Formats: sequence, C-alpha cells, structure tokens
Amino acid sequence: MPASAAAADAGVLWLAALQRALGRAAHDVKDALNGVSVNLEVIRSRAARAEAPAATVAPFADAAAQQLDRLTALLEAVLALGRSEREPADVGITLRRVVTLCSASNAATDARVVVRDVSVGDAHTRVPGDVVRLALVSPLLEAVVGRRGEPRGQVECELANEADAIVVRLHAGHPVPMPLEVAETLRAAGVTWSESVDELSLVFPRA
Amino acid sequence: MKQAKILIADDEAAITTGLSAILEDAGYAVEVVADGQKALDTLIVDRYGVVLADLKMPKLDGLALLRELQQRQIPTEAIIITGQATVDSAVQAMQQGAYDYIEKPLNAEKLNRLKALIPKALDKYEVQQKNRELASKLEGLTHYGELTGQSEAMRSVYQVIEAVAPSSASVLILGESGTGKELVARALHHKSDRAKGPFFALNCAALPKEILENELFGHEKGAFTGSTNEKAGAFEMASGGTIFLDEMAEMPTDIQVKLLRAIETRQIRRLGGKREINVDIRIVAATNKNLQKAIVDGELREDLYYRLAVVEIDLPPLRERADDIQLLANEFLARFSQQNGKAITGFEDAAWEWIMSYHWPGNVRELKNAVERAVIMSRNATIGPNDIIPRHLRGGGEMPAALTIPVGATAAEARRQLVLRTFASTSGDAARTGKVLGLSEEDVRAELLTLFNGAGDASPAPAPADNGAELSAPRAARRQEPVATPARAASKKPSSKKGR
Repeated sequence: MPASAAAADAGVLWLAALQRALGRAAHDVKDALNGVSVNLEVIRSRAARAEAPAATVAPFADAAAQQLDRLTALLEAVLALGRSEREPADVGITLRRVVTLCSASNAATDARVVVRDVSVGDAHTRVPGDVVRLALVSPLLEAVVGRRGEPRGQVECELANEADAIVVRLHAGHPVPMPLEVAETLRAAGVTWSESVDELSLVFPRA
Repeated sequence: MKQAKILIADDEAAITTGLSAILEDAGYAVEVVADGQKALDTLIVDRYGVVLADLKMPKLDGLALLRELQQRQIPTEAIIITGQATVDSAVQAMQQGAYDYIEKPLNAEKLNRLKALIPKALDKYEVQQKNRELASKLEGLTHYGELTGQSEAMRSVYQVIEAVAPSSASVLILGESGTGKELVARALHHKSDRAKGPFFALNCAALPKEILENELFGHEKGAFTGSTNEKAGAFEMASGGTIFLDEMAEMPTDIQVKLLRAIETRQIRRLGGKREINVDIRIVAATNKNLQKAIVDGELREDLYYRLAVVEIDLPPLRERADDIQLLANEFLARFSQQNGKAITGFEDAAWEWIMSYHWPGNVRELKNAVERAVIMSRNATIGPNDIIPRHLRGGGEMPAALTIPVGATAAEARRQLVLRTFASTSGDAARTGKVLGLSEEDVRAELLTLFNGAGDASPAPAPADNGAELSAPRAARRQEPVATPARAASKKPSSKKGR
C-alpha cells in the first residue's frame, strides 16, 4: 500500500476508532459534568444562606474545580484528536491525549489506562499523526474493554527513547494483540510492533 | 422528628460528597458507599428509606443491586442514577423494582427532580413499612374485632380493614350470606376516627321501598298520611359515624339515585322536606349478589357501584377457610356451653369429621347455629354426630326432597311450609327461593315476615330461624348502636348480632 493511500486509509480507520473511544469516554464526561453541577449546587444553595460560613463551601468549590479540570482535559483531548493530522506527530503528546481519552476511570470494571512515564523530551516520529493515534488507540481499547465491552483490566503505558525509534509499551498483564483491520495500514506507514504474553511494544521511527 | 435515611452508592467521590451535602442540607441523614456490594451489606444490617445507586459501580452494579434487594426482600426504594442512560437500562431498572431513574449529569433541573422524587419515594417506603409491620402484627392473630379466623384469607381481610379503616373511603363488602359482612363493617367503624360516633346498620332487602326510603332519609311532619311527627333518617342519625347498608344491591333503583346524590353532596332531604341537611357519614355497603350481573340487569346503578366500591373487601365463604372451622367451632362451643350452663368439653371424633367435611353453605352463621343447637340438645360431656348434624342432613341427602302436608291444612299453611322449606334448602336465599317456587322475591319475604310477625301456624320452622336472621323482620333490619362504647357493645345480646 503506498504511503499516501495508507495515510488516507488511516484517516478513515481513525475516525471509526475515535467514535468507539468517544462512546467509552461519554461516561467519564457525564461523571465530570455531574461532579461540577452537584458541587456547584451545594455552593449555590449554601451561599444563599446567610449563616453558612465560607469554610463550608470551600471543599465543594475545590471538588467542582477538580471535576472541571478533568472535563477540560477530556475536551481538549477530544478536540485535538478530532482534527485530522496527516503531518508527522509527536508520539508523547499524542499518547497523552489518547490516554486521556481512553482512561475513562471506570472502577466498575477496573478497566483503565495509566501512563508510567511520557517525559522523554522530543518524541517526533516521521509517521503521520492519524496513524500514530490509530496505532495507540486500537490496541488500547482492545486491551481495556474488548470488542463486546467486556472489562479486561488495567493497562500501563510506558514511553521510551531507543536509538532511532520511539517505543511505546502497553503492559496489560495479558496479551495485547494489534487488531487485524488496522495492522496492514500501520505497517504501510512504517509502524512496527511486537507482541508478548502480557504486552505490546509499538515502534515508531524517529523523524 | 426522626431524619429519613438515604444511602448513596457511587464510586465517584466528587459526586457523592456533593450529593450527600445537598441531601444533608435538605434534612436527610446520608451515608455513602463506593460500590454495590457495600450498599447491599449496609442495607442488610440497617434500614434506609431510599438508596441512590449508580448504574455502573464496582463489584455489584446498579441492576445487580436491584436484583439482590428484590430477592432478599430488603425494604428500600431505589433511585438509579446513571451516566449511561438507555431505554433498555431504564426499562430493566424499573422492571427490577427501581422507584425511578435519573440520567447524569445532575444539572440544577435534574437535582430539583431528584429532590422532589425523594420525599415521594420515602412516603412509599413508609407506607410499605407500615404494611409490613401490620402484616407481621396480624400474623398468628386469631381474632380481629368481632371476627374470628386465622386463615390466610381472613388475615388478608384484617389487613385491608386495618389499612382502610382510618380513611373516609366508602367500602363495599362482598360475600355470601353468613360470612360476617356486618362484623367487618363494625370493625371498620371501630377502627376508624368515627368510632365514637354512631354505627347504624340497615338491611335494604328487608324493607318495602317506602319504608326503606323513610328509614334512610327520614320525613317531615305531614309528609304522608299518618306522619304526625318529623323523623330523622339513618343518614342523619349516623352523622359523625358509619352507616352500614346491608344487601345494598336489593335497593330499588329510584332510592339508589337518592343515595348516590346523598353520597356525592353529603346532603339529604327528608321526605316532604324542603331544606337540605348536611350529613357527615362514612358508608359501608354489603351484598351477596353478583354485582356485574346486577349492573347489566339494571338492578344496580353503575355510578352508585363505583361510588360505594372505592375499596372492596371480599369475604371468603367458610368452605374456603378450612383452617378456621375448628377454631370457630371450639369458640362457639365454649360460648354456648357457658350461656346454657353446660360443661361440654369438646366434640367427638365423628362429630369433627362431619364438621370438617360439611361444606357449610350458610357459612359461619350456619356453623354457629349448628353448635348452639348441639349444645342445647346434648346430654353428654361431648358433642356427638347426632347432636351436631341437623336431622334433615342425616342419612345422606342434605335436605328432604319431599314435604308432607297434613290433610286439612289450609292452602296458606301449605304455601308457607313450602316457602320455608325451600328457603332453608337455599341456605336462606330469598331470591333463589322465589325462583325455585315461581314466586317473586317480595312474595317470599312477605311469607317469611308473616311467620315472624306471629301470623304463622305453630309448626316448627326449620333452618330459616337459624339462617335467616338478617331477613327476619323490620326490627332486625334496622340495628342502631347509638354510641359504641366497648362496654355497651359488649352488653348487647349475641342474638341481636348478625353473623357470628
């Protein structure tokens, strides 16, 4: 597959993956919104009572602010990932956004994504942004919830600089296969990977 | 006042902290748990009127929690709060007993809805809690007011009486003759706020139309020929108390119209009167008729039926209360032994066999009369089969198929004997007697009244004297208990009571 065709194909595949990730993030968005509204309601109702000391509303202001930060991060990630990116991307920045989108902390299933270390400085790859996202999101979603929504546990992400490549390790404690429908597109764009019994290592060629 | 308790089950601390603060500010006592299993554990050991549960929670999700609550019959009202509202999950939650369902995010509008829902859910919890307490209180109970019975069917009746008595709702009591409909009416009266007011019972079937109308609404002086004084009717006399209309479906339809108006306006007008008189009454009605048929046949106005049947109490026949027969028989035996100064200790096995196998078409009244007759007739320390089984039922058939009329008897006497025997064979059903004999129901009643007014001959009346108390005479048709104090109620002769 020519590189341009792979990039176009990646754009389509990415939109499908984004749709799936957004569906999963909806719960997180609503929870954060809920946290903001409920805590604001406490502040509003207590502020209306003259005898309520300011100290009684402070924890709720903090909680509302915290939920607003969570919501902001989610919305920023969604807005950034919603734009098509055919230019080479920074794997570190993309990973943070993808993890924010996929990390819907759902204690009910204990399915979440945590990032161990992404501070590797410049992590630019020559692979187009849409492909990088696709390469990260597709196995991550498989790893945490599976195709039919069944919970599969927690995934840890680790970013490393290795010679001419930027390596992302997705450690799940169980095999993390690269979905077949994206494999060819990723390979055509220059992304490689290796699977082991409990993790997937993605290798992006440095720019 | 005791604070209502609410349990919040959600794994989002930012939400539960805020939500519990809102609810505490609203005056509730709130506990928070972070997963469904903890919610279940908490609800097992403590009582919460409402549980607010997230649909998605660790360990046990909202739907699984609802299932557990239902299976373990844990009393609480669950409101499901979720960020993943779909029609399916909402339907599932409601099917599994959720009180309601609210979708996240809880913005100001939804929080207001939640705040409005909680008192309603708590009300429902309180009502159900009272019902549960009542059910457990009634469990094992053998007596309720003047009613006797420990069967499941009677306990259900007690439960309905207990629930409905404090309200002012009209009650319609359905049941065969002799099942104790008036006793239920009395229990409703005595358990209500009107207990200090009068209880006024009127048998609508026993009185001709004009007299019934007069009894119900009273009359002014000069209303009709011979009315030299004004007279208050049952509605006025029962004001502040309860009026019991027995055999309500026998009431002529034009009186039904007046009754309906009185129920709707709480006002009556005496016969020949021009002014409306305000009355404050609760109506309890009873019938042994098939009301649907009576409505279709035009004998009962449908609008009156719906006015009277706000609550229906269906009294089971004795044959469906096998558990109660022994209890009742022993109780009647003790009562009549004492009243007759006899030391009868019990029933012989053969007597029990007959008592338990007989189908008692005349219900409790028939059993009571049978035991009373047996106590009177018995010369032993125990009641034997020959004491308890009525002569006409011995040796096979329940009623003799033939009637012997001596030569020389008048046609009137023959007719009276025929009416009485047929009346007895129908267990005191005047309508059926009329149908069997090709007479009108009024003719049957007139014949019975003739006998009880002393115009009859000296030949002994068989079963009607036992079974037909409620049809016997105008004096029995109208029974007023002026102001029902326990002492006065207890001093009444058993024979003045209908049923048991």
